[in-house]
Amino acid sequence: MSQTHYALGDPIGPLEYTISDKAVIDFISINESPEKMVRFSSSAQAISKKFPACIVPGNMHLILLTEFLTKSIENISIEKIDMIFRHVVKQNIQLIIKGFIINIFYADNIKHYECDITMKNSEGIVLIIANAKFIFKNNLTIPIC
Amino acid sequence: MEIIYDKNVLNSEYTSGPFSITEDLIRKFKSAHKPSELTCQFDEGVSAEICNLFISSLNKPDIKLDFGNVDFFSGQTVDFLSNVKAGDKLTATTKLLKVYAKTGRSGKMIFTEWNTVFINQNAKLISNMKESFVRINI
Repeated sequence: MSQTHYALGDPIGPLEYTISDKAVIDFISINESPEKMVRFSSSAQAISKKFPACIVPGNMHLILLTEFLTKSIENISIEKIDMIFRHVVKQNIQLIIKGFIINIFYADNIKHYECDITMKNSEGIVLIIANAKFIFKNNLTIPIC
Repeated sequence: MEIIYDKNVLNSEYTSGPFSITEDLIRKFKSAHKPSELTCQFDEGVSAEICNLFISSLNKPDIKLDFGNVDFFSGQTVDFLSNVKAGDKLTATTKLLKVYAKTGRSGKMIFTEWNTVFINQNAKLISNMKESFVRINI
Protein backbone atom coordinates (compact mmCIF):
# COMPACT_ATOMS: atom_id res chain seq x y z
CA MET A 1 0.00 0.00 0.00
CA SER A 2 1.39 3.35 -0.95
CA GLN A 3 2.14 6.03 1.57
CA THR A 4 -0.58 8.67 1.67
CA HIS A 5 0.49 10.69 4.65
CA TYR A 6 3.66 12.67 5.01
CA ALA A 7 4.99 14.67 7.92
CA LEU A 8 7.40 17.56 8.03
CA GLY A 9 10.92 16.39 7.27
CA ASP A 10 9.87 13.14 5.63
CA PRO A 11 12.23 12.23 2.80
CA ILE A 12 11.21 11.76 -0.82
CA GLY A 13 13.37 9.48 -2.89
CA PRO A 14 16.26 9.39 -3.51
CA LEU A 15 16.24 8.39 -7.13
CA GLU A 16 19.43 7.82 -9.07
CA TYR A 17 19.66 7.83 -12.82
CA THR A 18 21.49 9.05 -15.84
CA ILE A 19 20.12 11.18 -18.63
CA SER A 20 21.70 9.62 -21.67
CA ASP A 21 22.47 11.34 -24.94
CA LYS A 22 19.88 9.07 -26.56
CA ALA A 23 17.23 10.14 -24.04
CA VAL A 24 17.99 13.78 -24.85
CA ILE A 25 17.70 13.20 -28.59
CA ASP A 26 14.46 11.27 -28.10
CA PHE A 27 13.11 14.12 -26.02
CA ILE A 28 14.11 16.80 -28.50
CA SER A 29 12.70 14.76 -31.36
CA ILE A 30 9.20 14.75 -29.89
CA ASN A 31 8.50 18.22 -31.10
CA GLU A 32 11.60 19.60 -32.77
CA SER A 33 13.91 18.74 -35.57
CA PRO A 34 17.11 17.48 -33.92
CA GLU A 35 19.06 19.41 -36.55
CA LYS A 36 17.79 22.63 -34.98
CA MET A 37 19.05 21.61 -31.57
CA VAL A 38 22.54 20.34 -32.40
CA ARG A 39 24.08 21.92 -29.33
CA PHE A 40 22.38 19.15 -27.37
CA SER A 41 23.55 16.34 -29.64
CA SER A 42 26.98 17.38 -30.90
CA SER A 43 29.89 17.97 -28.54
CA ALA A 44 31.64 20.12 -31.12
CA GLN A 45 28.57 22.31 -31.54
CA ALA A 46 28.06 22.55 -27.80
CA ILE A 47 31.65 23.64 -27.23
CA SER A 48 31.46 26.13 -30.08
CA LYS A 49 28.45 27.65 -28.28
CA LYS A 50 30.60 27.97 -25.13
CA PHE A 51 28.94 25.06 -23.32
CA PRO A 52 31.30 22.74 -21.45
CA ALA A 53 29.87 19.68 -23.21
CA CYS A 54 26.54 18.41 -24.43
CA ILE A 55 24.08 19.36 -21.75
CA VAL A 56 20.56 18.37 -20.87
CA PRO A 57 18.01 20.83 -22.30
CA GLY A 58 16.58 23.14 -19.68
CA ASN A 59 12.98 22.25 -20.44
CA MET A 60 13.68 18.56 -19.81
CA HIS A 61 14.50 19.05 -16.15
CA LEU A 62 11.10 20.17 -14.98
CA ILE A 63 9.59 17.09 -16.58
CA LEU A 64 12.13 14.89 -14.84
CA LEU A 65 11.42 16.51 -11.50
CA THR A 66 7.72 15.98 -12.09
CA GLU A 67 8.41 12.33 -12.81
CA PHE A 68 10.54 12.07 -9.71
CA LEU A 69 7.66 13.26 -7.55
CA THR A 70 4.93 11.21 -9.21
CA LYS A 71 7.10 8.11 -9.10
CA SER A 72 8.18 8.60 -5.50
CA ILE A 73 4.74 9.49 -4.18
CA GLU A 74 1.83 7.74 -5.83
CA ASN A 75 -1.45 9.38 -6.69
CA ILE A 76 -0.52 13.04 -6.42
CA SER A 77 -1.30 16.08 -8.49
CA ILE A 78 1.47 18.61 -8.70
CA GLU A 79 0.33 22.17 -8.34
CA LYS A 80 3.56 24.06 -8.79
CA ILE A 81 7.27 23.55 -9.35
CA ASP A 82 9.92 26.21 -8.96
CA MET A 83 13.37 25.26 -10.18
CA ILE A 84 16.70 27.09 -10.16
CA PHE A 85 19.82 25.94 -11.98
CA ARG A 86 23.06 26.15 -10.06
CA HIS A 87 25.13 24.48 -12.78
CA VAL A 88 24.49 23.12 -16.23
CA VAL A 89 23.66 19.43 -16.25
CA LYS A 90 25.84 17.34 -18.53
CA GLN A 91 24.50 14.31 -20.31
CA ASN A 92 25.53 10.78 -19.31
CA ILE A 93 26.41 11.55 -15.73
CA GLN A 94 24.90 10.01 -12.64
CA LEU A 95 22.28 12.20 -11.01
CA ILE A 96 20.78 11.87 -7.57
CA ILE A 97 17.42 13.50 -6.94
CA LYS A 98 15.93 13.67 -3.51
CA GLY A 99 13.56 15.81 -1.55
CA PHE A 100 11.88 16.28 1.77
CA ILE A 101 8.65 17.72 3.04
CA ILE A 102 9.07 21.27 4.32
CA ASN A 103 5.50 22.45 4.80
CA ILE A 104 1.98 21.11 5.18
CA PHE A 105 -0.95 23.45 5.05
CA TYR A 106 -4.67 23.55 4.40
CA ALA A 107 -6.41 25.69 1.83
CA ASP A 108 -10.09 25.27 0.97
CA ASN A 109 -10.13 22.25 3.28
CA ILE A 110 -7.55 20.51 1.12
CA LYS A 111 -4.26 19.36 2.53
CA HIS A 112 -1.35 20.71 0.55
CA TYR A 113 2.23 19.56 0.79
CA GLU A 114 5.35 21.52 -0.03
CA CYS A 115 8.76 19.97 -0.58
CA ASP A 116 12.28 21.00 -1.43
CA ILE A 117 14.15 18.98 -4.03
CA THR A 118 17.79 18.84 -5.03
CA MET A 119 19.46 17.29 -8.03
CA LYS A 120 23.12 16.52 -7.39
CA ASN A 121 25.86 14.85 -9.33
CA SER A 122 27.85 11.90 -7.98
CA GLU A 123 30.31 14.29 -6.31
CA GLY A 124 27.52 15.84 -4.30
CA ILE A 125 27.52 19.12 -6.19
CA VAL A 126 24.07 20.63 -6.33
CA LEU A 127 23.03 21.16 -9.92
CA ILE A 128 19.41 22.13 -9.41
CA ILE A 129 17.39 23.24 -6.43
CA ALA A 130 13.63 23.13 -6.62
CA ASN A 131 10.49 23.58 -4.61
CA ALA A 132 7.18 21.89 -5.35
CA LYS A 133 3.63 21.91 -4.07
CA PHE A 134 1.30 18.98 -4.47
CA ILE A 135 -1.91 17.39 -3.21
CA PHE A 136 -3.11 13.83 -3.18
CA LYS A 137 -5.66 13.18 -5.92
CA ASN A 138 -8.09 11.47 -3.58
CA ASN A 139 -7.81 14.24 -1.09
CA LEU A 140 -10.15 13.77 1.85
CA THR A 141 -11.67 16.87 3.28
CA ILE A 142 -10.14 17.21 6.69
CA PRO A 143 -11.54 19.78 9.08
CA ILE A 144 -9.01 22.13 10.56
CA CYS A 145 -9.30 21.99 14.31
CA MET B 1 25.34 50.66 -15.12
CA GLU B 2 22.49 50.81 -17.58
CA ILE B 3 21.41 47.60 -19.28
CA ILE B 4 21.07 48.22 -22.97
CA TYR B 5 18.26 46.31 -24.69
CA ASP B 6 15.12 46.95 -26.69
CA LYS B 7 12.80 48.23 -23.98
CA ASN B 8 9.85 48.21 -26.36
CA VAL B 9 9.68 44.47 -25.80
CA LEU B 10 9.10 44.86 -22.07
CA ASN B 11 5.53 43.81 -21.16
CA SER B 12 4.48 43.51 -24.81
CA GLU B 13 2.52 40.33 -25.48
CA TYR B 14 3.53 37.81 -28.10
CA THR B 15 1.23 34.98 -29.12
CA SER B 16 2.34 31.51 -30.18
CA GLY B 17 0.49 28.49 -31.43
CA PRO B 18 -1.85 26.86 -31.75
CA PHE B 19 0.01 23.82 -30.50
CA SER B 20 -1.94 20.67 -31.27
CA ILE B 21 -2.07 17.98 -28.63
CA THR B 22 -2.37 14.71 -30.51
CA GLU B 23 -2.45 11.14 -29.29
CA ASP B 24 0.85 10.61 -31.05
CA LEU B 25 2.43 13.56 -29.24
CA ILE B 26 1.16 12.30 -25.88
CA ARG B 27 2.40 8.79 -26.61
CA LYS B 28 5.86 10.06 -27.57
CA PHE B 29 5.94 12.38 -24.59
CA LYS B 30 5.04 9.61 -22.20
CA SER B 31 7.65 7.25 -23.54
CA ALA B 32 10.57 9.33 -24.72
CA HIS B 33 11.76 11.48 -21.91
CA LYS B 34 11.70 9.16 -18.98
CA PRO B 35 14.51 7.06 -17.65
CA SER B 36 13.77 3.40 -18.20
CA GLU B 37 12.95 2.72 -14.59
CA LEU B 38 10.21 5.32 -14.53
CA THR B 39 6.69 4.68 -15.69
CA CYS B 40 4.09 7.24 -16.52
CA GLN B 41 1.10 7.51 -14.23
CA PHE B 42 -1.06 10.02 -16.01
CA ASP B 43 -4.60 8.75 -16.07
CA GLU B 44 -6.58 11.93 -16.53
CA GLY B 45 -5.04 13.34 -19.68
CA VAL B 46 -1.58 14.75 -19.54
CA SER B 47 -0.30 17.12 -16.95
CA ALA B 48 0.53 20.69 -17.94
CA GLU B 49 4.19 19.74 -17.96
CA ILE B 50 3.70 18.85 -21.62
CA CYS B 51 3.67 22.60 -22.29
CA ASN B 52 7.41 22.50 -21.75
CA LEU B 53 7.72 20.80 -25.12
CA PHE B 54 6.72 24.03 -26.81
CA ILE B 55 9.15 26.36 -25.07
CA SER B 56 11.61 26.44 -27.92
CA SER B 57 8.77 27.26 -30.33
CA LEU B 58 7.47 30.25 -28.41
CA ASN B 59 7.41 33.55 -30.17
CA LYS B 60 9.98 35.56 -28.24
CA PRO B 61 11.55 38.56 -29.90
CA ASP B 62 15.25 39.30 -29.80
CA ILE B 63 15.58 41.95 -27.10
CA LYS B 64 18.91 43.05 -28.56
CA LEU B 65 20.65 42.79 -25.24
CA ASP B 66 24.00 44.49 -25.54
CA PHE B 67 25.96 42.25 -23.23
CA GLY B 68 27.69 38.89 -23.12
CA ASN B 69 27.89 36.02 -25.53
CA VAL B 70 26.34 32.97 -23.87
CA ASP B 71 22.79 32.34 -22.69
CA PHE B 72 21.85 29.73 -20.13
CA PHE B 73 18.48 28.61 -18.90
CA SER B 74 18.62 29.63 -15.25
CA GLY B 75 15.26 28.68 -13.81
CA GLN B 76 11.62 27.98 -14.30
CA THR B 77 8.42 28.20 -12.29
CA VAL B 78 5.34 26.38 -13.52
CA ASP B 79 1.81 26.42 -12.15
CA PHE B 80 0.02 23.25 -13.21
CA LEU B 81 -3.49 24.59 -13.63
CA SER B 82 -5.28 21.99 -15.79
CA ASN B 83 -4.52 18.78 -17.61
CA VAL B 84 -4.61 18.55 -21.38
CA LYS B 85 -5.93 15.80 -23.61
CA ALA B 86 -5.66 14.70 -27.20
CA GLY B 87 -7.53 17.07 -29.46
CA ASP B 88 -6.71 20.15 -27.44
CA LYS B 89 -5.14 23.12 -29.14
CA LEU B 90 -3.01 25.29 -26.90
CA THR B 91 -2.19 28.93 -27.38
CA ALA B 92 0.59 30.71 -25.52
CA THR B 93 0.94 34.37 -24.66
CA THR B 94 4.42 35.44 -23.70
CA LYS B 95 5.80 38.66 -22.36
CA LEU B 96 9.11 39.89 -21.05
CA LEU B 97 8.70 40.67 -17.35
CA LYS B 98 12.05 42.13 -16.40
CA VAL B 99 15.70 42.46 -17.18
CA TYR B 100 18.18 42.88 -14.37
CA ALA B 101 21.84 42.48 -13.50
CA LYS B 102 23.62 40.54 -10.80
CA THR B 103 27.28 40.11 -10.06
CA GLY B 104 28.64 36.72 -9.12
CA ARG B 105 32.05 35.08 -8.79
CA SER B 106 32.33 34.92 -12.54
CA GLY B 107 31.42 38.57 -12.96
CA LYS B 108 28.39 40.37 -14.24
CA MET B 109 25.31 38.47 -15.34
CA ILE B 110 22.16 39.78 -16.98
CA PHE B 111 18.93 37.96 -16.24
CA THR B 112 15.81 38.07 -18.35
CA GLU B 113 12.47 36.80 -17.08
CA TRP B 114 9.63 35.81 -19.36
CA ASN B 115 6.11 34.82 -18.44
CA THR B 116 4.00 32.56 -20.61
CA VAL B 117 0.38 31.62 -20.13
CA PHE B 118 -0.96 28.57 -21.94
CA ILE B 119 -4.69 28.25 -22.57
CA ASN B 120 -6.68 25.65 -24.48
CA GLN B 121 -9.25 26.14 -27.23
CA ASN B 122 -11.91 26.92 -24.61
CA ALA B 123 -9.75 29.62 -23.01
CA LYS B 124 -9.20 27.39 -20.00
CA LEU B 125 -5.93 28.11 -18.23
CA ILE B 126 -3.52 25.22 -18.57
CA SER B 127 -0.25 26.56 -17.27
CA ASN B 128 1.38 29.72 -16.07
CA MET B 129 5.08 29.52 -16.66
CA LYS B 130 7.93 31.82 -15.75
CA GLU B 131 11.32 31.24 -17.35
CA SER B 132 14.60 32.89 -16.44
CA PHE B 133 17.67 33.10 -18.63
CA VAL B 134 21.07 34.42 -17.78
CA ARG B 135 23.55 35.90 -20.19
CA ILE B 136 27.21 35.95 -19.30
CA ASN B 137 30.42 36.86 -21.01
CA ILE B 138 32.90 34.04 -21.57
